[in-house]
Amino acid sequence: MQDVINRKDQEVQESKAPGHTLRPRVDIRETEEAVYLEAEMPGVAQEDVDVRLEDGELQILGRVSLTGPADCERRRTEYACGNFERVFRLAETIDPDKIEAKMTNGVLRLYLPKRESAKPRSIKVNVA
Amino acid sequence: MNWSSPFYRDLNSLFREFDRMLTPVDRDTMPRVNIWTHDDGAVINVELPGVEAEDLDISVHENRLTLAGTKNPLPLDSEQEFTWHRNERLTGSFSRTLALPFRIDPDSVVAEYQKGILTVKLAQEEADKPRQIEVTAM
Repeated sequence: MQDVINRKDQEVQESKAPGHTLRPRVDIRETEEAVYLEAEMPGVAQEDVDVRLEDGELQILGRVSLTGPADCERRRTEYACGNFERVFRLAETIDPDKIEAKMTNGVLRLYLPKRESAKPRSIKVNVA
Repeated sequence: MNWSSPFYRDLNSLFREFDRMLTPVDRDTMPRVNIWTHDDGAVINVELPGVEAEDLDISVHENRLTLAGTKNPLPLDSEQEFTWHRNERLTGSFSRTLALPFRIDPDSVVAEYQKGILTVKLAQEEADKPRQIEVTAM
């Protein structure tokens, strides 16, 4: 089966945002009807998510605006804070006008339905 | 010499101990934490994207804070068959215990979950705080 969603060769492009740029972890599942993409972007609010589609490239951006607590001494840092960015190449089979995005608990969920023409059809075989 | 005597446990050694006592991170299954301390306690941020607040279980005992919970995969709209293209997110149950360099006042613990990050604020038990002793001139 041909991949409906492909990582770009150079997945994370040069980011214009200052500071760290992190690559969100993603889950991508495909059904006959659509592709479901979930991207983990902890610390990002719904209004700070930007999903862009241009020339068949799907760009996911999440801006983090959080800092550590004031007047505290940093004791341990296991994860970095920064903006999230990742780019995928979408197959022609996805209908760009019907993409839906929702951000919940730090996870961006994209619903990418396929074009009607791309959905599989079952052909009834008539007995002659 | 009794090394466990509080006499020898100055603040610096306490914090060295603190770092050592933190459970080693299995980056594949354990949620990652950032920790800050201040004079009265600590602030702990935990990366937990995609977890429901009611699936989190936080408990404290003496100087230990335990974070446990379950992360469920997001359901699809309908029960259709699907193919995985990427599966980078972790799901399932997790548990992590952090040892702090002081006894935690259980009544002080506040936990908030927002935008996929859990923030736990906790204070040191009053009896465990260092005290300034006035020296009286005789």
